Amino acid sequence: MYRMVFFFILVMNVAVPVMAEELLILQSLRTRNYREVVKAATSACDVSAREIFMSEIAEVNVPRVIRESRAKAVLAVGDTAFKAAIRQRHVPVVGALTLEMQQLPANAKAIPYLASQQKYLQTFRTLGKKNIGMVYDGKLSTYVAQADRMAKGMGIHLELREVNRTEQVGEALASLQRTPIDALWVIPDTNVEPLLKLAAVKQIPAVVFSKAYLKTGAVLAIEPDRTFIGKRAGELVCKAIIDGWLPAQIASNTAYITCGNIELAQRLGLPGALFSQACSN
Amino acid sequence: MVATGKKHFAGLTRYFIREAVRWPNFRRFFQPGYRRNAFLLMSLLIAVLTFGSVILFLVFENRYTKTELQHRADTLTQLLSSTLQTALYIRDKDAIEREIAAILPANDISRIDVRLANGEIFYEHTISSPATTIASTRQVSINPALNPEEAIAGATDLLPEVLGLVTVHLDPTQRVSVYNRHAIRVLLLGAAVWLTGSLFGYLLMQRVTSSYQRISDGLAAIARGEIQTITDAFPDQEMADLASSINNLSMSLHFREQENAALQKRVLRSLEKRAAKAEETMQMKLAEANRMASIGTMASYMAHEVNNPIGLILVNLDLMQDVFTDSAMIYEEHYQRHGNFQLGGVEYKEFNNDFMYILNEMREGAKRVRHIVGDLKRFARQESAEKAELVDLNKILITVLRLCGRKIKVSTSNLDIRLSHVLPNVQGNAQRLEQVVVNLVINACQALPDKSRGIFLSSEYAKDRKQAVIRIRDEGVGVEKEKIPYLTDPFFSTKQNEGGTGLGLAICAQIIAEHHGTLEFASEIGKGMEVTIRLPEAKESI
Repeated sequence: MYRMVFFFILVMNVAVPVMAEELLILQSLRTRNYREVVKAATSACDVSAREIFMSEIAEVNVPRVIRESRAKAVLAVGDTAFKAAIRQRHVPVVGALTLEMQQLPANAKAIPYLASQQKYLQTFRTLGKKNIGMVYDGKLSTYVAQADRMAKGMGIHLELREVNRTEQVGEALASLQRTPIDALWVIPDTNVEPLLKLAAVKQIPAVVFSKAYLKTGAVLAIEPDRTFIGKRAGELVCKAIIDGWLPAQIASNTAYITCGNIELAQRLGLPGALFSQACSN
Repeated sequence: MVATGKKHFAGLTRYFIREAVRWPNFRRFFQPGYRRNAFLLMSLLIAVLTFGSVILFLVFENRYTKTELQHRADTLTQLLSSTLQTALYIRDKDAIEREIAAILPANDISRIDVRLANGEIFYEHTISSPATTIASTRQVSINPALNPEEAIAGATDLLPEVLGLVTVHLDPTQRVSVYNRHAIRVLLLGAAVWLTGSLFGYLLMQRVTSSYQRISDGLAAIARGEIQTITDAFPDQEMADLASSINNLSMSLHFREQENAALQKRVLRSLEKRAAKAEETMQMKLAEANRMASIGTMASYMAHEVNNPIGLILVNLDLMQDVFTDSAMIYEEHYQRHGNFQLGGVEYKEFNNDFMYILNEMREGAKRVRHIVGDLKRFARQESAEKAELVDLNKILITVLRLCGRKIKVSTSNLDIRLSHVLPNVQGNAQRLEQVVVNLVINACQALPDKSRGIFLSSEYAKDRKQAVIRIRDEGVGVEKEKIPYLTDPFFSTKQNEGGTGLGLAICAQIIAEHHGTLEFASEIGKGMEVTIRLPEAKESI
């Protein structure tokens, strides 16, 4: 009897590390968009993986979860998952569909979500808009500063309003209300809806980063291709598992889906060529 | 044909209206009666229905007006809550003013308030200040944007964020004024409907009841005794039939009255005859009573005058018998010596044989005279029963049985006595009552043809009449029914041949009458007679 117990303990101590998955897929929510990314990632990197949805677990100590999982890499999908995953410094973390891009630790890299500033500015130029209003969070100041530089080069003026607290939103919007602008550039921020209302009041087009806002007043969305993002995330995960490290620089996102609200565009008198692509997903 | 019908209808209508508006008819219509009550009831009903409908209409109209105003206020607040979203979000008063100015041409808005979520008034626009307003408040909310992560993730569960409150106050004065004018018009219309309905009701009631009224008048005249027929022309066949029936009835009543009058005359005549006859009978009875009183008086006098000589005769007869007895030996010796000789013109031998018999007959005759005189004295004696004492009739019966025991024993071998244990006492003279019962019992004994026939004595208590009753029944020869009413008449006797004086039952009836009782006879020839004495129960105080 004692021998059997000893053998069982031995097997468990030896076998458990052997049985651990190589990849831990940590997702903020269980949604279709995330699943698309995960599917593309696991297609690109065919390793054993374990999925955890943060909205469904009671355990909040994600570093401990990562440590005990003994995974060689973590794929974090969504802001919440990525922020939790980068609280540990031992296991490489690849972020997808996250907006966290600045001041990342050495063990973490994120696939850029937003389209390049160039893409947006070209779109505004195509629309014939030269005074573009933008309210942005200070966390995206690097992205916005680059955009401002590029815009000036392209003859486009950006009316920028930085908002770091909720109380500043109303003032920023009132300021933009009084400012003669002919389009709004909406980047990820907690105040998308007021911006869209402002666009409606001023009868100007708003260009957003997710087609989810097309129903609430945006005229055009430049949304990244999730399959592309997932594939790139899978490549990075494999690299991390095999090499044990992540590249210092990651190229900007280049694959996008442009989707528009054709009816609103017609009402605003915008050229229809930009909105010929159907919003299938 | 149609034109004729219309003309007829118009003429009829004019006739009825003319008849209806005539002052006597109008005044008569409103006299207390079923027509007035029916009209008032109908008018009340029309009033209730009309004004009830008017009130209901006004209530609903009022409610509708208020609801419409409220709905309008709600619509305006809904509109403002939508248009003010951005302006309130960005706290832009100018933008709010522009949005409000767009709806201000609606002239019933009195005030618009815009408050922040914390309740603080952010914007206020007052146009007027009426006493009451219809207000509607609505939240101004904004759908929070999907936060970027949610948007990127494709999540959709969102809750609106409340930015503030917008309140629209509407001035109901103008609508209330319109409603009031409307209400007055409707009330006037209702009054007009009521008056018109009542007028038509009056005309209709006159029309419907005119035939009844004429028939009623005719009936009233008949009731007053005026034999008249209802001769008015009736437009309705039913009324005409009814009038004809009433006419027939009236005539029939008239004939009946005539017949009744004749009958009454005959009855009156018959009654007069009967009354005359009764008066005659009464006079005869009075005469009889007077005669009886005279007889009584005379009998009393005769009794007094006859009694002494009779007594003397009886005494002397005894003396004569003694004389004859004492002298009989002398007469016998004389006869033996000298043979037959004359005494008073009669031969001694014959005289000797008959003399005692003659004396006895004389004595019996004298005794009979004394007996009759005694009865006459008792009949004439007005001895009152006021010598009141409580008398037990059972004891009377027992005493009588003892007194008449020998006579009864000789007359019958079948005596039946049944005495009541609950017989009450009577008030009266025991000896006189004994005299009555003795008389009746002896009569019963005398009526029996042989000993096999029975005598039945009984006493009982007639509780319902509060009477003590004695029945004396015999199975004797009985008396003809025709003679029964005369049994108590003085000197009426069914036993004239047996030496009856005809005073016994007269005395009995007199005694019972003195005791406020009754003496009843029931008899059938060959089956016997039953005599019932009824005496009132004595009062407890005695």
